[in-house]
Amino acid sequence: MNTFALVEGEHVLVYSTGYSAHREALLAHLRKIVGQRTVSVAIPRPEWASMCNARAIADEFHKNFDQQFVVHQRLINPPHLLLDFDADSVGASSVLAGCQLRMLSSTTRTLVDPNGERGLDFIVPELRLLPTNWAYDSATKTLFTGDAFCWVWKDEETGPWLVDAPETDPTTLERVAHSLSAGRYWWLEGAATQSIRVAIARLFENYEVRFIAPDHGAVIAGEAVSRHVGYLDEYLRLAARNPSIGIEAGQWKTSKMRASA
Amino acid sequence: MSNSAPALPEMPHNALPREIAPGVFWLGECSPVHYAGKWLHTYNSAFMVVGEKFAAMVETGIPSVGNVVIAQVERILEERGVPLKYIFVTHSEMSHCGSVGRLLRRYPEAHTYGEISDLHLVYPGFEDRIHFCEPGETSDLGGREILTVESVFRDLIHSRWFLDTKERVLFPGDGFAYSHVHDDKECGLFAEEAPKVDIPTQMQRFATLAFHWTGYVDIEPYVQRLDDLFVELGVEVVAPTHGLPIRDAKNSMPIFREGFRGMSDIHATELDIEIYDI
Repeated sequence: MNTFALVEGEHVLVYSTGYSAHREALLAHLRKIVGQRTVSVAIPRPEWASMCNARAIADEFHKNFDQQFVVHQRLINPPHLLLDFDADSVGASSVLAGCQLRMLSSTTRTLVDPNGERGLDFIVPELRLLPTNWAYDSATKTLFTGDAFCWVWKDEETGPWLVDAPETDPTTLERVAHSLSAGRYWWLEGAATQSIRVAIARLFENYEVRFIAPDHGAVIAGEAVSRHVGYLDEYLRLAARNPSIGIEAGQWKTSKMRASA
Repeated sequence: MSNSAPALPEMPHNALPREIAPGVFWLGECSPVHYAGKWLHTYNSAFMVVGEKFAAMVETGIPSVGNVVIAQVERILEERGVPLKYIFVTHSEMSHCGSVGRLLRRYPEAHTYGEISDLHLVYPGFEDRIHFCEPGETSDLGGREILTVESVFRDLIHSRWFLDTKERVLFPGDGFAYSHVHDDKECGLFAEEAPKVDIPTQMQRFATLAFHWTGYVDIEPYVQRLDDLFVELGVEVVAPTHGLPIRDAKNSMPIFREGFRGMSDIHATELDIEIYDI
């Protein structure tokens, strides 16, 4: 599970905030980075994996928390209420209660540092399940892809969690196919995927991408970028030829699926 | 500042809870959604089914209505004098599971069942009270059961639907999702009581927002399976998480069938410009 901290001048933008279970580790990492810098939070998709620690970050860094709270349009509910869901909550965060929502836009660049020039281009990806934004950071040539490109997992906790050369990369087309079709992208089997293939190809033509930074799994770097875009394109091409699994998947038992994962 | 959120509209008095079938309560309240320059209302509903021995929740609502839902739950449990034993969730998204943690803390005998793939990471410490459940499993409330049912229409692959076996109320989670217009005073109504709701159009809009996948698949097998499932289960009432409940499933189905078919006509990329850049 990944959270990214974009540091620019005297500001840190925390991009996606991860799960509650990782809260203490995340806050420990951020304490080392933040120091006297101001902090803001971006929630690029209204899902647990992006939301869970937003409140904790706001409360932890309340003295230097930027009151512009960057969120997806579907998070229009007041953040102090929407992010108040912990089992032991004693009430809404007063830090978040004072926040102003700044909506993600695919036509207006979002500044990493409100007082700087480094911007994030938010993109509405053709490949998505729920309301989702990807984002491109031109300063580092990083594409943040949310729930896509999440297929690089390792058997050891120590990783490495950045894959580049083929010898560090366990990925195969079969792993990509399983990750997509047995997970959130079950509907791609038998789907009309051509427009998705075209949109992704165009995206990688328009942006020079050195890093693919997904919410889950390893960061895909350097020469691995084109290799993984190729895996995705090939899977999408093959998936369109397959029969749909949409009806039968609704009847599948999770115990069977977990055993085969 | 550019891209600031629009000011929220004043919301009407909450019409919930409402008993939509004997012993089946609709909980929560409407949430405003800004769509293409207009305000719509959508529900992220929770439901409670009360048996002779136990009560069950189906869905728990979005976190922002957590205080509302918990107060409604407390009141109904007190009135009916049964404990909360089951918290069923169709899938582990925040608009369905927003109060799971607080409910598990408040009701220590209760367990959560459903598609719960990442809930242990959202609510650490409750791993032993959060469980997958499979189609065909039943849970006894005394005088009625909750049957776990396949999800015909879903976003997450292992989503589950549920059926109250006594009143034949189907809880289809993301199925039958549609909004209503802010000014039309349709909050808290059955679909059959709200004739101004353009159900096919609202289902298509909801698909554009949340069910992007419907634009890439042949939707007809899903419609057919839905029809078959309704007959197999003898569904009388439909209690969707994101729409007004349907009191007369059999006679209202044609308009919803049209709505499902319209979902496959979305041209998402064009519509997204409207949605995302308000």
